[in-house]
Amino acid sequence: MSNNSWYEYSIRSNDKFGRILFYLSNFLSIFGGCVLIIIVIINVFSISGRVLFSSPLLGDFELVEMGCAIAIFSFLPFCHLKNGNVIVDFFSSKFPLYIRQLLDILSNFVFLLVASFFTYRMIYGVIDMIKYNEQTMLLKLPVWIAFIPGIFSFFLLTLVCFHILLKEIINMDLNKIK
Amino acid sequence: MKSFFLENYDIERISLGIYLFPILFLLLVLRIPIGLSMFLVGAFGTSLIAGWLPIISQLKTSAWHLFSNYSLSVIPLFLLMGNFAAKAGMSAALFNFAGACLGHRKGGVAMAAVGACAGFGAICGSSLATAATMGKVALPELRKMGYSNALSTGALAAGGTLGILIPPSVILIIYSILTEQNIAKMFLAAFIPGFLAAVGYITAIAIYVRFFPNSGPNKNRVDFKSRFLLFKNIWHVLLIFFIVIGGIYLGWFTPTEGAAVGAAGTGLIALLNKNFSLKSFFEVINDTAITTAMIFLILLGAEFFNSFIALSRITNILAETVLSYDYSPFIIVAIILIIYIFLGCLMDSLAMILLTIPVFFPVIIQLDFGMSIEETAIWFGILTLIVVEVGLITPPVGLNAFIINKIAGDIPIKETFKGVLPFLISDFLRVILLFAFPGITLSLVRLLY
Repeated sequence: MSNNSWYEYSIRSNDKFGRILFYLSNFLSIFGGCVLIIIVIINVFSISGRVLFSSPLLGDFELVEMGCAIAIFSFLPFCHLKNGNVIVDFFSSKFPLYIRQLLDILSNFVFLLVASFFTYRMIYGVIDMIKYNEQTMLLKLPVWIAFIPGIFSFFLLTLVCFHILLKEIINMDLNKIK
Repeated sequence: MKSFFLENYDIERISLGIYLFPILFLLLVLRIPIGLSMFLVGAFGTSLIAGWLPIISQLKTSAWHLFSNYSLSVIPLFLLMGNFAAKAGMSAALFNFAGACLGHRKGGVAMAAVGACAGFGAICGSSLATAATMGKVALPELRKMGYSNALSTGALAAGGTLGILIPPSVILIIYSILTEQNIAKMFLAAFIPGFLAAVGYITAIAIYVRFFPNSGPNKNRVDFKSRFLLFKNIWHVLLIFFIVIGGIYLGWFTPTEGAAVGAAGTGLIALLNKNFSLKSFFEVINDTAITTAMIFLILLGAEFFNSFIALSRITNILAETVLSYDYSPFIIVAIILIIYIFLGCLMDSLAMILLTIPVFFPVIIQLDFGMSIEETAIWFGILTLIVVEVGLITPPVGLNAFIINKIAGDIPIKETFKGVLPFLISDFLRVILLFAFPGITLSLVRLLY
């Protein structure tokens, strides 16, 4: 939640790749929001069923857990694209602009590495889950179903990191470094 | 698996823990996001103690296990509830009602803004959302009435902090989950301190306008009948608050279900509001998305960081060291609170809680305050919440002050920080009061449980 106008500027992308990424992550975040609203409805149903007819919805906890996980995964790329991740800019706000730009390139490079590594490891995670046929307790839902959107989100997050990194490198004023 | 250090040498692990703290700090200074920094240091530290293999296999499912954790699912739902409330037109109704009740006093419109913030805080768990929403409604009115720039922006920035003080509160939920406390009890305990905060802020305004009579003019008195008519517009706010908090307390539903009921309630009111369009719906979703992802990315980093802290046993040594000095436990808490006030000048409140509670909390519960461990945890949690919230209105990174300042547009930030000063004094007095008399915080919990 830092406010760097130059950063905002750099994100406003004119290229096709950036626009597609923006639409995809925004679509994904709206999708996650809709999942969240479905969770709200499931909960309201389950409570009213329990209180009014003393027949709770079977496995509502599992649905909530799965739905929440899908929703949170779906929010990640949009948050990063919107520069929503918290940094401590108390110290660096007094650095010259080109140093801050360099640091942000470094930080995004690290973010890219970690996000791609997460994506890569989660693919192995889902293979494990299919192999051991992991299911939820009551509804016997296979867990990997919810894992797939998660991998897609982390993949999109990786692309977003890559996009921001490219933008930052292009926008860097090379003359200042000399 | 050959590990870097011999595993039996505790001393090595502890010094590792101590060395990695400055590295974490360095990463933060280098503008690496907080969650990512915590992940890097945690993963690196754990791998030095136990080798890379556990980390690599943990990465397969750690994100999944964290995001699908039932007790954490309360966070996105409470955020959704608050964001719906922000778009449901409740803020204007609350401000009008509070204005009718308090507006005839000197500085009354600013008092009304604080009161409306308190009301909004009862259905919104975030300070920033409370400040932003109330700021948009109340600031134009305050400026039209001729309130001074310092008083109007200061009152709103401080009033916004009531969003996390008055339950439901996202920070309090995360504290409860981290320290394995009962969320319902934490919410109950926050009730009186939150009420004291609102009263303290209103008193601060009353004293301030004594010294600067021109800064806060008053409106005409409104009769009871029109007050009652205005109350009709806000009764649903109270209803949602009591159903959510009461239902969680009475065990009708889990905190997650309570948050879902609240989101359904505020969502319904938003749908009935004629200004609520598809665009506002998307805004609600996107605001929820950004805050949720921001919080969970920090939580994910904290997961790795905390397992490293636990492995390094640094907290055991810290506790032993602190206990061996034989200071009064109250002095230790006071020192921790002062550390928080300083950290609050540098850091986001949530990151601060996630970074420090795993280190401080094990020390706190080993100290003897003459209360049970649970009561100590509740009391310490509320104190932490208040001092962390102070960081939102102090320079240089007081986010609430910046948000209000941005809404105002043309007021220098210096004026806002000047205006915050009386409220800061009220905050400090309240911290001292609650610190010296733990019974104030605990009275509701003791009474009702």
